[in-house]
Amino acid sequence: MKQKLLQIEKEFECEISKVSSIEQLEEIRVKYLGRKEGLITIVFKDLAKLGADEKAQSGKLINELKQKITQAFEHKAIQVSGKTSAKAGKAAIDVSLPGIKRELGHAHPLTIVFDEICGLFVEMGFRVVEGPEIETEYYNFEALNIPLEHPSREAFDTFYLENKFLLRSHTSPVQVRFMEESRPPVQIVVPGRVYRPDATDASHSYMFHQIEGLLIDKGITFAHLKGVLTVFAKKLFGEKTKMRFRPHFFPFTEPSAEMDVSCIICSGKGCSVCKQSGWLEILGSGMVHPNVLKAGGINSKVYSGFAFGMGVERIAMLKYGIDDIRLFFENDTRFVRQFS
Amino acid sequence: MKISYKWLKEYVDIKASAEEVIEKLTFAGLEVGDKKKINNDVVFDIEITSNRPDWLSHIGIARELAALFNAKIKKVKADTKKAITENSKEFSISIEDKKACSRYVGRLIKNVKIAPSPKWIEQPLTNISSRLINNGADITNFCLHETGQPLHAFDFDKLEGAKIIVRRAKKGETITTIDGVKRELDESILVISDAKKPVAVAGIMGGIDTEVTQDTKNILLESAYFDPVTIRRASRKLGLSTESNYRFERKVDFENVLFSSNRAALLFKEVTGADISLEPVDKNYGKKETRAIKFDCANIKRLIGAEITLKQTQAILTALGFEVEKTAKKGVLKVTVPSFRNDVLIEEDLIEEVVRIWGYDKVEPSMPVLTAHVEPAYSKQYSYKQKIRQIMIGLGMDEAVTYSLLSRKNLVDSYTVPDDLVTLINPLSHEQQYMRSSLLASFLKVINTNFSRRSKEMKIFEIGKVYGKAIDSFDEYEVLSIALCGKRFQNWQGHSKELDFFDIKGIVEVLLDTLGIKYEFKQPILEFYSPEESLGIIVEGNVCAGHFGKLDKKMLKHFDITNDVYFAELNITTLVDNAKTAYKFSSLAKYPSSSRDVAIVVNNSVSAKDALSIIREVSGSLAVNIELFDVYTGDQVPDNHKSLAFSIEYQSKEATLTEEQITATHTAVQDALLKRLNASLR
Repeated sequence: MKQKLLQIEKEFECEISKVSSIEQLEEIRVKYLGRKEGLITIVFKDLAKLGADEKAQSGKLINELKQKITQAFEHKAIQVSGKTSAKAGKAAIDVSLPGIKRELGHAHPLTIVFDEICGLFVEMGFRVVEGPEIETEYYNFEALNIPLEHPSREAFDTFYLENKFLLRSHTSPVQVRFMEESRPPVQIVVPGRVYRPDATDASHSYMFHQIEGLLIDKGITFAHLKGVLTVFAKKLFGEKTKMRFRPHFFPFTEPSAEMDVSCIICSGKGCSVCKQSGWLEILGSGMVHPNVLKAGGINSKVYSGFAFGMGVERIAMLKYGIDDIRLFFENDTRFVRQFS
Repeated sequence: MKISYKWLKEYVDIKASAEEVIEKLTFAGLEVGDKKKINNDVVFDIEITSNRPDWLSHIGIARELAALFNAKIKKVKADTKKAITENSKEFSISIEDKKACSRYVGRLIKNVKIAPSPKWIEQPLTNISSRLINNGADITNFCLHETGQPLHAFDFDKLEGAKIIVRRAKKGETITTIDGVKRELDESILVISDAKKPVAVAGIMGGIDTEVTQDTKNILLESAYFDPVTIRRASRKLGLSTESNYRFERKVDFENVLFSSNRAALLFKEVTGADISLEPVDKNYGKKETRAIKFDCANIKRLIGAEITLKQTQAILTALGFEVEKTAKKGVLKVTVPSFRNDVLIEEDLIEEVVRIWGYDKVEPSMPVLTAHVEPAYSKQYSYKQKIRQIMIGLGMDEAVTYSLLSRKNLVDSYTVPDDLVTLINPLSHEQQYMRSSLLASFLKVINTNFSRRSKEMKIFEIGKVYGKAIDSFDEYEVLSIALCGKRFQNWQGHSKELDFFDIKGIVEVLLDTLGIKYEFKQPILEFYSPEESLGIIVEGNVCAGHFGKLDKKMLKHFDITNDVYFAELNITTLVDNAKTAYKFSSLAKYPSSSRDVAIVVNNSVSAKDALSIIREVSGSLAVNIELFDVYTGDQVPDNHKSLAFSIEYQSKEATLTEEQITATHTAVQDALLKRLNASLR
């Protein structure tokens, strides 16, 4: 009996390995597993002729063989038809066709960068506040220690409206507006749109976006400025990012500093983006000038604070390797769809 | 400003290489841009911030290097005592506007021999790309770049009446400046004049008639202090900017005026063999201003968070030219500001000087303890903007960011010229002169751009500001704008239809429903929509929250768009004010519901809304869900008629509805529809 079973198994293995169509497979199924004439059915019938001991032993062997054949058969069926079920006759679908997708829209890269930067500061405990784009000379200049007829205004060429109203040239007016309305501690970031009459080219736009930050409390120092901005830069550009602070001049901060980060393109080795210096200028910052605190109604003998501001387009351009600022406002769908 | 490394070394005793000098300057706040090797020298460009006019010269930069490298200053020769032997009577100087010109030093230099400059004058000037003229003009340029004081040389023999008068120009006066341009003058412009006419625009440029030439024998050398605002205004008015006015606008060093005149006189003697024996005339109307600041050095730690010793502090300030004295109080210094540091006014300015030289990099970063605030991190409006953005992206819309400024043509073409149009007084061009009152024109420009690049469909949105006027001021508010055109969706299972009115309506409805806003629609009267296919959105209190619809075909032609475009614009603040903020659970129905259909044929003039309100009214609270599942027009119904089919789900909260109850209600609904809409059953 055992001998016979081994022979069946060998024969089956030989035959099934040659199968290449569903029709052939069906022939083999009938030959081995057919209900009337199937070889397995026949050996089961033969069992009856055996003694009790041998019956139990052989029965077990037959069952094992049947299972083996059934499994091999199903496995082959999948290979041949590409289907998990061997049920013949049902129409097959081409599962390699693309799925039917409900397309999601895409956030604009500037929004993505705004959300990311604001989010980083919110994690640290800052709040997000906004302010008007149409401003007065007072908030845009005077309150920020930029007097009339002063050369420092040259850095802030401005679009004017009637009655000396203007389009804000930076988000800093919100500093004083917020201080006027609240008591320290002040912990805010200000995202917003700003305007400067710059002729448009690949790196200049008369309209662009900034994020401003302001932190005022008792005992806030330049060391804190460096601490917060270092954490920010590492979160935004990666933990290995190095940063350096250089003295600079801004009328609304004293002392003032510009922050550079190690070039995110070449990691500081020198490339065309960082003009071979290995460093990228990212933001301006400094300790809030006593005149600005005064304009906001805050006593500079008791409180101190720092402020910072950065251009969102510049950061997005560095982050994504975008080489022309005009692309942000052209809204070519092939551009907008690349960032989310 | 271009600085020569070799020239710098004339004024400070340093061994450092050009690279080291650049590195140090960068970390002291002088941003070095391009640098290049030229004629055995290194020349670099420094961006000088507007607060530091004292850096606009080689001596000024050398002074900084002395402090940074702890090196000695090399003084230049400017002592004319030995050379001067006579009082000057050959000319007179009168200052009419003493506010605009508080100091004027004039001196007569006789018997100059005008020729090309010697190598040692020519080379540094060439290296920093300063134009060479002749030794007379070159010496004044040399002094400018050496000391920072602009000088001007007149051909003395051409000055009528041997007079220098500093006065306001008269209306109608003109001058031809040395660049050959004839310029109209007026009272706002300060001039230097001789007995008859203006010979120079003060502090900006000299006149061509009194210019130093090959034939010049005697020179009247001017060194002055002009009021920054006066010079700045004149420079703007004339559209003329020079090395000279650049420095006067930022304030030159009052005490440097005579020094520079003396220095130049010595150079004239050395280079041209001139006679400088006449004493200069120094008209000085300025008050000697010495500013002393009380400096509590403990405040360095308070503001910076780093320890800098009193000794270091004193050393740094002294090296930078400040006079430092101790006071009776320990740790408190009396610091006298030198005349070239007009930017230093308060203690914080001194703190910056000390830390700047000590090194920003030595300040250890530390994290402040931030206060937990009760107010939300994002304002309500900001949070809703983010939520709305997510809904739009979820609905397949791409976000746009467009310019807020448009041309008059854009506004006219899109029928969005409001009564309170906001206009820029000084636009860059007519293309960007007006602030938009709607995002419509911006969107049509985006669609046009994309279509011209063969994009087939556009689904865009933007949350942006629009602008208008308010009483005595201006107004700005945020809107959500949406534009759709092209195919609804496309895939291999078949091409779908073009997007239509119901797509934009569906998007608006999903948004309003998701925000939990109660609304109804009304016909809007906006010119840019097709009147048959547009609606206004009305929320509580009869407030208009926005509008949507199909854009007028004729208007679209102005933007070269031939496809149908659907647009919506909603006021963000109104949405936020009407959004549902509190949600309450209502218990789930316990008893089964039962659905019945009704199909009616009505005249085309009957709206779905009419039928729906009748069903709602008649069925009362029993109809928990009414769905319009089919709208049909065609062969099966009479001309000018349509069929509307509704499925109504009946359910009670109190009990299982009996067959009789449902039939009774449904029959009442049917009867009401037939009667009131003049309909027939289908």
